[in-house]
Amino acid sequence: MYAFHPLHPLAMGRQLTDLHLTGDTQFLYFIYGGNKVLRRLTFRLAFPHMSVLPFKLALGALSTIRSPDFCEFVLELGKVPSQFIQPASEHWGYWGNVDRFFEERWTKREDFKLIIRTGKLYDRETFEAHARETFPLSTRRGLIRFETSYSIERHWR
Amino acid sequence: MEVVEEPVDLGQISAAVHHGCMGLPQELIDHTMDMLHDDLRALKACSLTCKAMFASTRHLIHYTLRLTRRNNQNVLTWQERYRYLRWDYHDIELRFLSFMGERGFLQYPRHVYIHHDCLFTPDTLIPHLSHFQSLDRIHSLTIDTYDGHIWRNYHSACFAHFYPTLTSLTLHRPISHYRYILAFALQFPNLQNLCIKHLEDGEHPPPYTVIPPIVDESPPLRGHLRLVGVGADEWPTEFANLPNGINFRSVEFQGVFWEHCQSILTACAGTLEDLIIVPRRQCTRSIHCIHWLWGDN
Repeated sequence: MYAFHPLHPLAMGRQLTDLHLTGDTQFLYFIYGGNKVLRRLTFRLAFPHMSVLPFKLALGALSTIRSPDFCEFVLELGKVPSQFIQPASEHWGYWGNVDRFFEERWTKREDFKLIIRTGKLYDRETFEAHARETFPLSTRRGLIRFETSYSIERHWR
Repeated sequence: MEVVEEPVDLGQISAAVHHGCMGLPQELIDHTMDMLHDDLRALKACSLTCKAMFASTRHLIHYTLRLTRRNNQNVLTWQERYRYLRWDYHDIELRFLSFMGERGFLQYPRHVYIHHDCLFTPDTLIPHLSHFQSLDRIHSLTIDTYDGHIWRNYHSACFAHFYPTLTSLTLHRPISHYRYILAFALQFPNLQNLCIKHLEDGEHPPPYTVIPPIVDESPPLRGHLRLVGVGADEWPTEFANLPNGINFRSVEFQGVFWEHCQSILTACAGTLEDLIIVPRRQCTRSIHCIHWLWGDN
């Protein structure tokens, strides 16, 4: 039987049946403790799809990592809108849970980083403010790093 | 007065040592051109400005040899175009390859891209094989719609010249049984990076056909593995259990089923440092999996 972290979706029990499950959940289990050298985990997502499910997917994957070298979680976000009218929670959903998980698991490591990588942004200021609002604990510890990569939009084209 | 135009030897210009232009040293020009390496239009514009820029852009302009039907059509004669109308075009389907070879351009490419709209079969390649074999510095090969069954007996005859240098292989929508596909990839002894996109189950082989198991004589793959939309069921397990193993440092899964990839992650557990996940948007099979884990069935 699988041993899940308390924040793991399956540990939350049948309440998940009320949520929309898509294929994203397939990745929840496969990065198990066998790997001891994983350093970086990257999620490449379309920003408009960052609803409730990718957060659970990321949390599930992160909860299975046992590598002592793990020090980078990268969010590569494509299709970022040109303006953000809605509040941060509307765009980022429940990604704050991932922030709490970082705090619990990895922030004691000095070299741990949360990298948010995007293409060219028209409203970078609001985007970064929303990200900091979503990840307040990581922001307080100075773990967030914003990067720009022009190849990201090519992927989503 | 009649003006006689003398042909310019571009090869000589390219080979000559230049000392920069507009007061800039050649190293700076080379560096600037390198920064434009993926902007073909800008490279072509720069190459027309002066000899120094021409020399530093030439290998970048011809870095990728694109064997596409569009490029091929551009170099055909009228007689050859008429042959297309009569469906008699097997020996001219890769005419662009010979066209580039006859002009000495095949010394520059490091990447060969064979597009899906170009019929890439032994019949179309063999008339131009001597030019294809002159591509002796290729690092990266991309083939769209590679048919493993058709090519199964031509690996060493047509691709042996890539063995010393080829390190990256991308197969986009390959067809036929996965063992033929993997046999093609594993023939390259120095291969490090492998990308397979949209491998489907393909047509089932005729009854009583025995598909030989994969022979792996090369060192373990230890670069980057990228699997995109791979739907076949059993092949990741066989791939992960190759006789010499796989030691990828970096793996990217895009739209694949986790149960198929678990064996690959297990095989690379001692080496995998970088994992990239691009989730699927829709997948019903994983919902069944969740239901199974919860005991709903």
